Amino acid sequence: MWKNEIFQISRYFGVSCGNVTLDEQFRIPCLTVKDGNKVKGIATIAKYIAKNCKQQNGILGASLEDQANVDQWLEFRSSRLDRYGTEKDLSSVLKELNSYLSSRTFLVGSSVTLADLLMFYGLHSVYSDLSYFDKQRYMHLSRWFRMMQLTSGVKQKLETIPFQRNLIYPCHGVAH
Amino acid sequence: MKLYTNSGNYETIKILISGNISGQRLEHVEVQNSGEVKCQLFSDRFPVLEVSTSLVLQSPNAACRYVLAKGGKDIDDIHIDEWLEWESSVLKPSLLPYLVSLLNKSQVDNKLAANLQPCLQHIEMALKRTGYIYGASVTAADIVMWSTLSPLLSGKDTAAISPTVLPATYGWFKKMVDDASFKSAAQVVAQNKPLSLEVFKKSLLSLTLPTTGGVDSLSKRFKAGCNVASGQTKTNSSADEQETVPEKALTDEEVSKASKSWSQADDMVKPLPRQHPILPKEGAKNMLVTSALPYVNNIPHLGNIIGCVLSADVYSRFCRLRNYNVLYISGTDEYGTATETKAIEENLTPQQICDKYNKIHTEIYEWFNIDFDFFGRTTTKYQTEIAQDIFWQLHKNNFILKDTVEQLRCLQCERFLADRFVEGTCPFCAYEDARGDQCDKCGKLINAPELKQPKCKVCKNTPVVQTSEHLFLDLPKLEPRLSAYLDAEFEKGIWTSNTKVITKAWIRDGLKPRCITRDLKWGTPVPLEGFKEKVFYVWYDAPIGYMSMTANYTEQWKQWWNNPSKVQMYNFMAKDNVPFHSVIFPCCLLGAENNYTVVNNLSATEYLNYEDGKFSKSRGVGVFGNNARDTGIPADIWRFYLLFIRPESQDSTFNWDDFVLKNNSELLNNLGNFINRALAFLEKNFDSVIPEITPTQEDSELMAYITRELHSYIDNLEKIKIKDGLRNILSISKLGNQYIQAHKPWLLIKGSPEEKLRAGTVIGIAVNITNLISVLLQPYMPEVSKTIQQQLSAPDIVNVVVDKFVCFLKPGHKIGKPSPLFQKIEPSLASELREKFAGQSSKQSVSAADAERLSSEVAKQGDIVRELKSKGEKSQVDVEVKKLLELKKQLAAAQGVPETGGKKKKGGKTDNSKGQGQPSKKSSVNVPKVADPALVESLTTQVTQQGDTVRQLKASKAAKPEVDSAVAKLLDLKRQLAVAQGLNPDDIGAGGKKKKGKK
Repeated sequence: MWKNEIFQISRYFGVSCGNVTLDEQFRIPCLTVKDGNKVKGIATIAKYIAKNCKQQNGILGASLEDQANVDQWLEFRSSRLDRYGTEKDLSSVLKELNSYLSSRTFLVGSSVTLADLLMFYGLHSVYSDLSYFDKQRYMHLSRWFRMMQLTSGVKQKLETIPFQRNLIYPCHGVAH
Repeated sequence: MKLYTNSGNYETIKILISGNISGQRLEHVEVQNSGEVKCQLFSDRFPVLEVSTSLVLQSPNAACRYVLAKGGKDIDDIHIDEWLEWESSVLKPSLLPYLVSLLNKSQVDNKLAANLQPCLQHIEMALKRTGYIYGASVTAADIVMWSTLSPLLSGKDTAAISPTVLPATYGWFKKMVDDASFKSAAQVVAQNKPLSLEVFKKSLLSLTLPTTGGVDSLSKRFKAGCNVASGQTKTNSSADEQETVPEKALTDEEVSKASKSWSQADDMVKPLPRQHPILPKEGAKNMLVTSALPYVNNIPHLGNIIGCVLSADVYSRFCRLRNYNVLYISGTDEYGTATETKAIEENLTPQQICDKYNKIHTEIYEWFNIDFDFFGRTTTKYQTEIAQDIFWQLHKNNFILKDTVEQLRCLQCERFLADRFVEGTCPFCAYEDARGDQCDKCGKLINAPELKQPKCKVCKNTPVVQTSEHLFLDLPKLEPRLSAYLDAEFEKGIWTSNTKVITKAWIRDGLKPRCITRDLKWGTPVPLEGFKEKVFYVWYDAPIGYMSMTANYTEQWKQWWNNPSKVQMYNFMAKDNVPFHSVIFPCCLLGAENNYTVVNNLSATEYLNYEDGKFSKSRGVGVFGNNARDTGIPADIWRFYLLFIRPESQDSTFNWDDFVLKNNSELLNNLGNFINRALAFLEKNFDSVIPEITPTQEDSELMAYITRELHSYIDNLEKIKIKDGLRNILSISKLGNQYIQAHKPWLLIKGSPEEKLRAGTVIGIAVNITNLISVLLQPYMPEVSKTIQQQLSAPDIVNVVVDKFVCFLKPGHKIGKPSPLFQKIEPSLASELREKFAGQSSKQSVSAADAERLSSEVAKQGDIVRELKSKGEKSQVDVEVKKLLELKKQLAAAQGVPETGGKKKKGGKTDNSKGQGQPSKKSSVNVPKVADPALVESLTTQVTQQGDTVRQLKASKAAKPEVDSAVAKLLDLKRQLAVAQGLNPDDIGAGGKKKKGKK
């Protein structure tokens, strides 16, 4: 489950991955690090890995404001995207992301941050099952997703999600 | 910073506390509803911290930490991140539903309380260590936890959440209340009232909680689609053997019913034999099934096939298995312009063309195992008879109008020209190669008579404008009875939602009289005096084809077509044909007032796309006609995949990778695997003879699950939900696989006598499941179904679909020889085939350098030719001309100039079926990029100028030699321009003698 994702995140940052297990009680991932300490929670683990890699290039947010924004989106990923109940919940999650991204290239600031990375991994299995109709419906989110998919080091071994090049549904069928 | 919030919101407390501690000024703004907060990102989520115009934080935890950090009071420790994440993703989803239920029922919900316990214990243990959530002093973790727990801990004690159970927690809670920063924040939110659950009531009840949030939803989702980062390709329904927990628990009634049905094989109805001619029977369900007539000239592609003939085929086969009385009719639609044109091209008569192509269609459908009761053609005498009859009836009832229409007529060819056969100068932009319906350059729609200097495309003469009288169907007059009819039928019958939408839109937009005649030769002749030289428009007469084909099938055709009370008609098609079947044809039949059978049910598919684009015959994109057979993949596999992706409620895409995947996972690993396992085991261990079957309670439960799928299958197919029916079959097969896997007969067979008997029962049941599958599969994969039944030696009586799962193959029955049903398709084959059918676009163009070199050689050679021509040495000229043509051919090939552009409409493509990418004489709209732009520009200007000169001379009626020489100069410039552009100069014309171009 999260194991593969954490592995990918480690690879993205060029560090070796520790041992990943599942905390049975709360059903969250647990990373055991070198000194035997444990870090729990997908967003926290990702932050930990990012903080401990050699290059600090603003991936967590360049300013205090950006860092807070990154935190906001990491929370969105771990509490709303990972825990949606019904299809309706999922639709509202996608709708909100789509609406937020309608005027932005990245989730935070003007470059890829940890927020983009985790949102991408979190959305991959969702997008894998999405119909072309929905991919067109969530147009901005799809645009962002494609951009992430093409960003070097991000996709790695994940399946490439196809997108229609042309609009195949008349615009009045697209939800605004 | 502005902090917008609703009243009594616990999340606001944490931000205010942070503000207090870090000394940041927060402007606290209370609002009634979220509409008042303009800057928010997500609606209905409070609080909203507006940090600046470019930053809005709606995550209370993130906001809290930010405010702390701004004042230098945050601690950068990963454990704090951990606590905050835990609060938002674990604690809140458990806590909030509990609080809401307390507020609603004022009683403890034990299940929710139990869910909450581990979280509370977790906090308790942390607090026991140091008296703070983390570390030795107040951190963001304390602030966040305290605020979130305040509704709970300030409320009434309950046994589960009392100070005795959570001493450290309560102690810490009270300690913090005394801290000034905490106290004042809480007071603000509680509006100076003492803290209690009531204070938070309004804001808690206004929350929209996710339906099954928390831990449960997480595990479900990850279980369902867990190929995140696993590198697996997409699986729609994976063939894994993990148990899939069924939706609802079985009722005892279901189980006992299933177990009883099991032994009722002898009471099953027998399949009715099929005897031609099939006629409506009294008391039976009489179903007339049609699939839209394919146009004879077009080689069908996969999209056509799934849209029409295949869908109708599955449905008819299903209905026959239900012992309904079904007649499935279709055929080729053969009249019309395109056939006439093609006939001229191929130097045959239209009838010969139709014969040739009808044969192609018939063969293709036969290969696809389409089981028509009759596949006919529109070019029969019955067609003329019936079409004229209906016409007379409409005429008698005053539904036919006369009107005049302006058309272009070519006197040389002696015919009226359809739009595609006229070209000339665009009246809007003066582009000289405009087509009869649209200008390629400016894109505006044109009426052919509006073209300047129009030319007949075939003989290049100038056509004249003639008015022609035509007959119109008075649809507006027929609209009321159509609407009344449809209102009733929409309620009673099966209509896919797109059919209703399209039909209602047509009617709502206002029906207009529709022209039903044409000035052509190849068609059903119009019998009315004054119109006898005309034929009926193909869309009037094509649906009548269903009737005439039935007449060709049986003389008693009127029992089907004049029998609306006893016959139900089902039309199948793709959505672009809907208006003709739901508006025009019904209007004709209703207007004739002859008690005709009119459509009762319409199933229309959306479009099938091909690998991210559209099918295109001219560009060689997609799988057409015999291509499918030539791949060596059996017809039933194609049927399976096309039906699996049938575009029912939205467009779908044919994808080679997915095709191969479905074959390998669903057919090979699921279906094929189950059947082969069961039969092979029986052969090996029981000498191919079914042993004693003594079902246990568990077995009866399995039968009940299978019965559920069976009921669902029947329900789906009755409603023409073809895709869903297929999935029922795959589910049954999956249940079979799980059954065998769970009982491990290969171990049982080695055990005690009781265990051996048990193995026998298990296999006996498995073999009967196989039998059931073979029957349900027949509408989808008839050949495979037959093969399975051969391997089972199943008697023919099994071929009925009833809502019971019975033991047809009883103990003592000997099966045939088992053998694998499906083969694996290598993914490399998918890539190969995708490459093969990707058409022109996939060809790498020869390097630009080559094209450029050729370009300049062509120009040079062109100059040589012109010089020689002016000197007049014929033999020399010929040699050089030959060289020039050769160079031009090379250049065209290098540029990958696509085949003739022409109309992109679906009907009547006039290209060869084989061969991709013949360089065309006339290039389509795209000009090759390698042309020398400067030269082209200068030549273009010269051409325009010379053109103006010529026009001027002509207008001022100058002397002929002068005009001629100016025209010659113009033509020459045009040729040079064409060469510079890489086009064939022979095609540039404004009149003048030319050989007929070969298409």
